[in-house]
Amino acid sequence: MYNESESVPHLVRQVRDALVPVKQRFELILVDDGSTDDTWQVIESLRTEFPFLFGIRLKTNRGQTPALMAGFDASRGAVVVTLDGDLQNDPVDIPQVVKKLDEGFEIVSGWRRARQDKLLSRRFPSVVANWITKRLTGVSIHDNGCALKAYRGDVLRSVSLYSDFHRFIVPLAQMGGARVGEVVTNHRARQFGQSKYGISRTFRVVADLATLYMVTRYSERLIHWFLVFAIPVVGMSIVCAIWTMHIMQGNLSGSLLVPIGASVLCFQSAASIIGYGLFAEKIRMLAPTRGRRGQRLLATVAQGGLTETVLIRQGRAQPLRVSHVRR
Amino acid sequence: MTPSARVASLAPVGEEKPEETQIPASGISVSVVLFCSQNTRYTSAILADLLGYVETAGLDHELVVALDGHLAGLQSRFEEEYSEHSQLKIVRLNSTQGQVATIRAGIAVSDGEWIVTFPSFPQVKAEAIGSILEGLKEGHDYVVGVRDGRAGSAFNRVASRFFNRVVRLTTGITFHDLACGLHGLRASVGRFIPNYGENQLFLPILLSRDGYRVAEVNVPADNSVIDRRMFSLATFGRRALDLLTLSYLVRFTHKPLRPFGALGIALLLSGGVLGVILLYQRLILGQALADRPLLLLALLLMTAGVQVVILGFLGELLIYLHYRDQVNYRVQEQFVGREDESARTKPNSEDSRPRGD
Repeated sequence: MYNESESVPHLVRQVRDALVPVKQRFELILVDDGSTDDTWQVIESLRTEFPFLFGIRLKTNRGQTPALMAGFDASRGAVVVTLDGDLQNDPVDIPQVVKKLDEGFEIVSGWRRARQDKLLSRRFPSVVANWITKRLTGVSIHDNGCALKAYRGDVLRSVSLYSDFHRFIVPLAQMGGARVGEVVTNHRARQFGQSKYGISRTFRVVADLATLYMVTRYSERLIHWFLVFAIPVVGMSIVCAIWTMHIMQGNLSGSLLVPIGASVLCFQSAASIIGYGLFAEKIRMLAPTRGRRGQRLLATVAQGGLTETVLIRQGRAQPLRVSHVRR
Repeated sequence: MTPSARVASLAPVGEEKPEETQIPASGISVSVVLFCSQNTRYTSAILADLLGYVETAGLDHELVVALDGHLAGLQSRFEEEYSEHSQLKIVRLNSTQGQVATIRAGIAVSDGEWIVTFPSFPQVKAEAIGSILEGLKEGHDYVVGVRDGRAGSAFNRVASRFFNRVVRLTTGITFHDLACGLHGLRASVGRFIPNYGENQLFLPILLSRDGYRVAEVNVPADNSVIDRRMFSLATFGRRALDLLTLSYLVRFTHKPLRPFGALGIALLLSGGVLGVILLYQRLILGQALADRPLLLLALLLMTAGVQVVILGFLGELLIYLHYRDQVNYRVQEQFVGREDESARTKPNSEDSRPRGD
């Protein structure tokens, strides 16, 4: 949450009202992302009334990804649900999103069918970003931008996020084999305060997507990614070489220097790019096979007629903890 | 640059905020660190001054003299001269490492709860330490002294103002006298000083960026020795490069594709526009292309642009493969839900993930 002091009490109350009837142990973690208003004080004041409340305050405003990571690292639940801090998600939807997990998914996303935002400034960039994300990462859900999502805790905590990658939790998890489902949820217009994201965000998202594309789709053949850049340049070099030859044969007029120079320039550039590609392969070879969070894969194990989903971590298979949500 | 992570324990309900001071076990509350890396001319005079100050101030003060590796001569001289002064500690790095490392060494051997660094060139008088301590006690984590009435060559002043202006533009933080070596900090902050830069003046910028509360305090200047040298060009060049690296690091450590990509695309586009103009002149206006060196420029811009973008991808790759586990948040304070006051079990007991602090 960033500067959402007015939303906090409502949010906490609504979460409580939505989850108490479900009769599961739950905790609500509020992460204050370095707010400059009295958001933290408000959170602290609610401590006594709501015993399930956890608060984390970050030193500086680093954005959503570090804030979410702080929350995830502190979480203990078998199921983790993320929620927007500005009341755009309705906590009433939490139980049904969680319940959908039992249908065999590792992640369930909300789907804001009836979006309440202003058309141009928020919905359009969102549609564009969603479309790009879908094309590049193969994500099949309709509304990746919806903040209301339920995750199996073990899966969520195994995903490393940096930069602005909180948008890509779903594609990243899918890389490890997570199955994603969808549930239609409500969407409310922002009630308090200002929206904090703008249209320029699309450019940043595209940059991050390009990176993600490179590391996922091309992770086994990095040099091909570099070839994508190098080949047009080499093509240009060849075109200039042909041009030079035409001039030498007298078909075209002009000095020789420019076309030769152009050809050499492009060739050198392409060679550099390929060199970088080799470098990238080298970097990948030196990558640790088991980072701190390691490579977690999901698999299904069947034995004696029963199947269960397991998380393979550091060479061992571990059954996913299941939630028992009954309405 | 990233300080080493350490596991932070969750604060149980009712604990005081981590910034509050505790009674130090060693009995020392203030350590003055006189650091010397390059300017040796005035060190002994300043040392004598500071020693007088510290011994007058009381037994809970100590003076730490931190010397860089090549100053062994100074070290033996001081050790001999001041062997009876129990409030004096002298530490020397074994090899020459630079100003920041020297300061860190001094901080590392300090026992005090409050640490004040003092430059070995006459910039301020010893009494200024008191103002710094006041600033620290007000609750700030790091305090920088700003000299009132500083005399010096006009060039130095202009260069200084220019430097501060650039810092403000690239990092958004305003400082007034970064060249002043009088800084104060809490011992707990001392652990997180990044080893960056040949000069101490980047530390307030970096720490401020990390969320520590940095403040400036006015102190009277000591103008007994006026530095009339102009900055050499080499120094200026090094400072400029440091500033460039700093502004990059401060914003883009985790996202190299941003600046590289932006720069690369800018180059690409300018080359592309130029190329289109040239093509237009060739195809429509019939002007021979082979005589146009501008074509080379267009191609150069475009290929350079592509290469810059590629560099950005390389950076992103490095981060993704090797550093994505780095925790990148810092916790100021947190509390645990009331119903969980008993010991909290860690969810995944096999890994020990570092938590930010």
